[in-house]
Amino acid sequence: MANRRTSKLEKWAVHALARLWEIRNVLFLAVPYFFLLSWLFLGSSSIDSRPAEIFSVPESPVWAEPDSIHWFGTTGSGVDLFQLTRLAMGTSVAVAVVCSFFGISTAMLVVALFAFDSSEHRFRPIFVFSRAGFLLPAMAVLVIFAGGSGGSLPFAMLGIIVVTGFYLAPMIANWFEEGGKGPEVLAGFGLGLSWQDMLVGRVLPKVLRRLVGMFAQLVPVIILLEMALSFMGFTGDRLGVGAMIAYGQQSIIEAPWLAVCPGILASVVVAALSLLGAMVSKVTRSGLLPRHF
Amino acid sequence: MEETPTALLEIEGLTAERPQGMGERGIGLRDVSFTVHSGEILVLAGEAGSGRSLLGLLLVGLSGPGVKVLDGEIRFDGIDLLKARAKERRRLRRSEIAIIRRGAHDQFNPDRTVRKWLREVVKMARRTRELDDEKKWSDYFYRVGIVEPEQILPRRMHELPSITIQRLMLLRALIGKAKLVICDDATADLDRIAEKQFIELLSQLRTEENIAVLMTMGSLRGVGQFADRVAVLYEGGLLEIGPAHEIVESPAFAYTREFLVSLPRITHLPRLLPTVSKNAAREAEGVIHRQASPIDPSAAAKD
Amino acid sequence: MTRICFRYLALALVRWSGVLISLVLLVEFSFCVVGGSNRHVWGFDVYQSIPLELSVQPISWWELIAERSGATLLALAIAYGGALLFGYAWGILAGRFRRFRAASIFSLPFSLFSCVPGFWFVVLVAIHSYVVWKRPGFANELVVESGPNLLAWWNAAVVALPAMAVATAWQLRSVAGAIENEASRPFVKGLYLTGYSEDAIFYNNILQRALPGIVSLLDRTLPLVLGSFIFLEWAFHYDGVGSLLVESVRLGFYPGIVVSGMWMATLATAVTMGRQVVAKLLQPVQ
Repeated sequence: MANRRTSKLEKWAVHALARLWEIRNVLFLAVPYFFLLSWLFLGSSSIDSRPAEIFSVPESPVWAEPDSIHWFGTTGSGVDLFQLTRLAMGTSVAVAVVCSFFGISTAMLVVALFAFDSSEHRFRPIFVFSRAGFLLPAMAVLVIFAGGSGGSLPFAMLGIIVVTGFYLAPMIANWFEEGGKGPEVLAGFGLGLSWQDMLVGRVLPKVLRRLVGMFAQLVPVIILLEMALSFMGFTGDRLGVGAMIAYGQQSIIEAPWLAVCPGILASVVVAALSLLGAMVSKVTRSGLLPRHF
Repeated sequence: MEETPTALLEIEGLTAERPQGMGERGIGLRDVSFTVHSGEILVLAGEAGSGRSLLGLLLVGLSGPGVKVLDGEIRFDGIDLLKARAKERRRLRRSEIAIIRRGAHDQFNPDRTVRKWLREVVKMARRTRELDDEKKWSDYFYRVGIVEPEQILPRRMHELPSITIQRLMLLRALIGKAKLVICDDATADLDRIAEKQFIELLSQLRTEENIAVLMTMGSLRGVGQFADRVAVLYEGGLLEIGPAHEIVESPAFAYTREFLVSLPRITHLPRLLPTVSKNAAREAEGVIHRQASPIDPSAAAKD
Repeated sequence: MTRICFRYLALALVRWSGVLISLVLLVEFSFCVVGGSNRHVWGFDVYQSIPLELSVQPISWWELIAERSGATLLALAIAYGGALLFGYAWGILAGRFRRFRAASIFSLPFSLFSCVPGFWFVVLVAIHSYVVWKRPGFANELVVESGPNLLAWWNAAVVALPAMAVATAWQLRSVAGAIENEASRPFVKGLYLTGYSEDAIFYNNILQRALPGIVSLLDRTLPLVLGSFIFLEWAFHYDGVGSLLVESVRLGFYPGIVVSGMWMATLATAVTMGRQVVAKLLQPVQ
């Protein structure tokens, strides 16, 4: 019997299914991400989200302790604290995702400026600059920039993006250097390929795959950074978990749940995202921290 | 009446499976049985995937977590190696069983000096009292063909050529008073001259010390010159075993014949580039799976 | 040895100068270019007396720095010292028991702890203080008549704890990762085959070869700890260099920003230089 010619569409479908099967572990991890982020982002947004308004204590405050209806209790003006915290957390995650994306993009852009140079020490300026820059803590730079620029969320995000890009650029440059010394690159030289061809065709795909794990681990770190800036009042008068805790401190005797409960949800969400990030980096064999056994 | 010498190493009905990628498992060794006696060199030959390296690692108890022994026994000097405790196996590896592998530079810490490494070897062999002085090592160096030991003692392992390292591994076997030396593709990294030197040295030590040698090789090249017996492995099973000159001069199976010659066939260029002819492979499979029938010579001539 | 020290010192001075210039430019850019302030870093009117918000009573620059430095150094000794101690010890232990996923198990409590916002601890400490000592403060004010200043140690320890958790988690995994790199080299299997024991392979071979890599991690967590102190000190109202930075930013007091920033950079430079010298000394002689 003669072999039936498989159509291009069938070949493509088989190839796509095989590829999906290979990355099934990563796809499996996408499910908890989807549920967690949906739950956070689909919270009620009809609440007035200015902390000064929310946490203003009227003469006769109507706050309620945590119970079966209001899991986190209510504020002095009767607003459900759980919904507020969920909204604040969703905003923090959104900010972190945007900052992580643009931070990694900034780092890639910086590295790309030097990557196409075929000389051996092409990334030396990045390493030299970073060795000096690491002497000043990133938090100090963020506080100075966010505070000096007036303490608003866009500038805080800009600061986080620039600092993230600065810290990630040497790491990504290292990945390019490692990739440039791999056996397939040496084989490429033997075939007569140019450095640019090998960079785009062989080194870059490997680096891009590693960015997935880096992104997954970066998001919870930036959430904590954003919360710290929000706590210090450097993200403007907008609802954030840090700001909620800062405002909650003012009524810590009368209504301790105002400060305690947002921290609990924040810890749980950050821990969940950290765990997921660690699993993604393990599955993709990439990430910020060295792989452990 | 001549007594049959007692076998030092006895492998009886050994069957093992191993992981094969994509979550599947396959049979690595199939009902393999043979013995090795003191003072003889047995060559275990087979192509890649025949199970020769797996057998070597099973002998020293370091086959890896995925390998599972399904049946069989391995007895060394009366000790069941498969049931022995890790401590006992380690004791044997330090002294009575020496293994020399391919990838000479992967057998030690590359930063160690030869001097420091030898002191560790002497200590592990529990011969510190006899060999505490470096001057007492000179006899051992001479016997493995290292004529100027003072030149190499201060050098680091990664600086030495492969043949020197393999000589040092034989020296380690001598210090540990090894009864069995397993050479797992030990000559793969050596050039022809170095390989010749190593095999000659091995033969000499085999005679002087009555050591049993089990050599795994990827070809049958030159085995007739130095081996006492030859065993041919195919897909995890033992195809044939016998005196070296018999295997070389009149092998029982076409596979062995073709493996012995192992010349590329320029006239035919089949798409899948098999290692041996189809008939030889079919015959060998039949023997391994106990369905053998002798090959028809006329059919073999047409192929 | 002297030549090595001088070389690293020169390098450190160059980097330190670069950080100073960058910091001054950052302040100018943030406050003036973006923030729209008309007070420039190089303006004489900026360098006036210390604002009263930074100190209850009139105080000289030297006294302010000394007081704040002492407080931060105390907390730093606990946080950084603890991170190095636990990070290295548990990281090496995790490497020793690498087959049993020890690194994951050992780092889990620190990793989970570091997911908790550090400034949130001020809330928990304040509530604990109120419940246990009946005062909504930082700690008990019982003063010990003689002996060590336990109150100061307690305050410093509370500030240091969240920073230590983060730094320890990172240090542990980095040390374990450096050990894993060596443990996965081909020669390790060769050592097993030649009869070396687990302990001999790990301590005499893997750990020795991993030592330069492990030593290079000495100074990596310091910027992390110093950065954490910035918001932790401010949250706990702990008068240290970190809170000086935040207060100076809020007041727009440029000298305070530059002094506190450079204090951190100087400390990081000194520790990095120390690490480089130690790494050089531990390098095997070629």
